[in-house]
Amino acid sequence: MIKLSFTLNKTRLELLVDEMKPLSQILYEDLQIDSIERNCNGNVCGNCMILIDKEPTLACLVPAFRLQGTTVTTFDAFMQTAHYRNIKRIYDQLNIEPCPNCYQAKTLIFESILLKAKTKVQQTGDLDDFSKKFLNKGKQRFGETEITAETIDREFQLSSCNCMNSQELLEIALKAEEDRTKRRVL
Amino acid sequence: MFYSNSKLIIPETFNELHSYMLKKPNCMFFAGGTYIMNNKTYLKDEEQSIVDITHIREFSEITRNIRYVDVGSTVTANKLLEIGKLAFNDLLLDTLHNTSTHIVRNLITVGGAVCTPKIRYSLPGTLAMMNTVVEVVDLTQTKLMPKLIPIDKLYNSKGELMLERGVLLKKIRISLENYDFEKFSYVGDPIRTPESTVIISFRANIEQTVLNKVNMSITFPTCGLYLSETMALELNGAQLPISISRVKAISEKITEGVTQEMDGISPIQKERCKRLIQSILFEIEPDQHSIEATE
Repeated sequence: MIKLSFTLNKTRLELLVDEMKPLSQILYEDLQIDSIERNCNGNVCGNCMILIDKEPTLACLVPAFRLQGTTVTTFDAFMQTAHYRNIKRIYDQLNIEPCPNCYQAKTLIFESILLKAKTKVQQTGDLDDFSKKFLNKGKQRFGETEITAETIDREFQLSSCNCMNSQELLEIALKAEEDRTKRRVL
Repeated sequence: MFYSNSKLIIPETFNELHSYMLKKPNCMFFAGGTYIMNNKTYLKDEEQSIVDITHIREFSEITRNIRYVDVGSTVTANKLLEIGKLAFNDLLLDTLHNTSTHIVRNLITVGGAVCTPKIRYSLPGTLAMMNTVVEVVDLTQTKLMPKLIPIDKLYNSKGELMLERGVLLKKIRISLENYDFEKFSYVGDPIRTPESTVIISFRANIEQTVLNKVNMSITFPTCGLYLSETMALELNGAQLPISISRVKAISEKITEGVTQEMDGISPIQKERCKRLIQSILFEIEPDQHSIEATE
């Protein structure tokens, strides 16, 4: 058993759990949070997605000892953030949204894609001329924008639900990225 | 020691890990955890202790020179992808890109992808074809003697990992060679449907209309990886473009060779393997630039 201390949805917690117990089971059995799926046993179904230190992760693949000192955010808490409102705004604008079964997983996959795209922009901002030259070379080789149809197809393999097609997913991701830049959602 | 109890050990330095391993050699190394967390049997094994090696600096270092890159075993696939974007060849970048999604790649480590006990993912196949070597060290010995061995020697004919208990993969040496034609193709999902998935890595040099230095690896996640010598013999010196009848004959011959040498290949994998080889061979085109230059 390990004495674990971490922050869950802005609440500091201390728990005594088995070292290898997956986070998905800790949330359900020890903390009675039943909003995430926990039955795939690490089969990467994508339905148990949560945020650890603001980074989307699958709760079934994270053992208890890795949670020491981290900040865990469940989807319910993520719904209170500006990042969620940005994605929700685009769902409403385009009048398309994932089905209730995969709403949580798909929204967090969007979040992961948008975070990755944002990191790219930040990286290019702070670099010296020499590094920028190399990054531009890289951009010419790999394409200007990070969000492409190929990226979307690959990333959404994680969610097995087929309620939305690739075109819709790409449209949401691109609009959300644009909206995030325009409204300066950090 | 960062943390230690009867079941979990988190060493901070390599020396701490070594001294622990001398006392208790029967333990399980934990880095990304994607394979271990997938296995219920590992999670319920009360006897076995777990050693988390992610805090050890030696295992997370990346060093580079002109000819190769040394990658520590706990470097994640995403980190390798970011760092290697301008250094690695397209084949390795494609392989890393297609190793699951960004979210899972954050957890997958290079050492973990190579050292899964029974299942083979896409990375070992590509690395084996690129003549990658790995540095392994036996932590159960008092005197540490790191050994460099080719990556394909880590597996037996069934694709099972042959590293003994207490032997740890320290780093991977990836060469920075570039070839004229490089292709990574796969059908299926190695994590969800390993029994029907086929992964092929192919590379060759093209001199005007002649193909040479052909290398290919075929990975069947549940049966292991196969480095095709037949392909090299058949295709080295072949004139491009290769005729349809020759492509069909070669793909048939390789698929037959693979099924004879490896056990447990399903009919769907056999068919997919044949089709993938055909699609790769049809894609190879003569080097237009050098032909124009000669003319």
